[in-house]
Amino acid sequence: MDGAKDHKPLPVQEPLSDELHAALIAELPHLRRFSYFLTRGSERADDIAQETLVRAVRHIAGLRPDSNLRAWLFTIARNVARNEARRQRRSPVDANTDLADLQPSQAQSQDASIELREMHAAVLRLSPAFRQTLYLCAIEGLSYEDAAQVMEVPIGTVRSRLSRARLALERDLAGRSSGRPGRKDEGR
Amino acid sequence: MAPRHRPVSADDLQDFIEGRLSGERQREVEAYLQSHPVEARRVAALREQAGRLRRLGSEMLTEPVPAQFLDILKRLKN
Repeated sequence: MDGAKDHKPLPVQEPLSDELHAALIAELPHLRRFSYFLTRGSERADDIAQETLVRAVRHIAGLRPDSNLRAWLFTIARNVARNEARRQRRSPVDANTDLADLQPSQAQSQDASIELREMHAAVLRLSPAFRQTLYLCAIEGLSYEDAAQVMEVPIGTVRSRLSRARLALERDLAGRSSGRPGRKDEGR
Repeated sequence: MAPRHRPVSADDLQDFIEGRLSGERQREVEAYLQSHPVEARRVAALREQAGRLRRLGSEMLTEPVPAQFLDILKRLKN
């Protein structure tokens, strides 16, 4: 966020312009949804999303005019989640949860069909790298470039993770529907 | 008569699954898959998964945003 000095800041900071304010409001559902998958459905998800919002507004001058607001927020959210995990001395996304017991929260899924609930649970069982990549590209529809920026990996890594995440998801769902235990995690 | 088009790569198939191909290239990949049934089945399953994931995502977006988020923005705006 500090490499933006050669870019003219948006003409709208200090205080937050109506335009940027509205843009941030429009992003809130996406930010919450990312945070939910980032923390693997943890109850900390909204705390991380809120902290992300606070930091985003404070550092809004670091947002380049040509950058994707959503990807920028997601990048901050990953940092917030990582810092929090470091503080709590546990792995960023996945501590304290028994994989077998993991179920999407009711609020997130009460209207979902069984098929979507199974998909939801299977996404939460993916490894962090697979889950985040799948979320960014397949659910959020970010460009590979933006996803690579959020994940801080090369574009080729995004493509390869996305492809492997889809296969891992298929295997998991197929394993469960045929009564065999699905593989918990295909990530590395 | 075989259609003349650029060879279909693994990246093309991935972009097809992801719905990221241009209209023209998409039609070329569809034509390719018509003559490659094994790949076509694999790709169809993953396209179906892609659709389900998008539905899951849209459903989650309908959840109302808690008031605290708007409070933060209001507080920081002024």
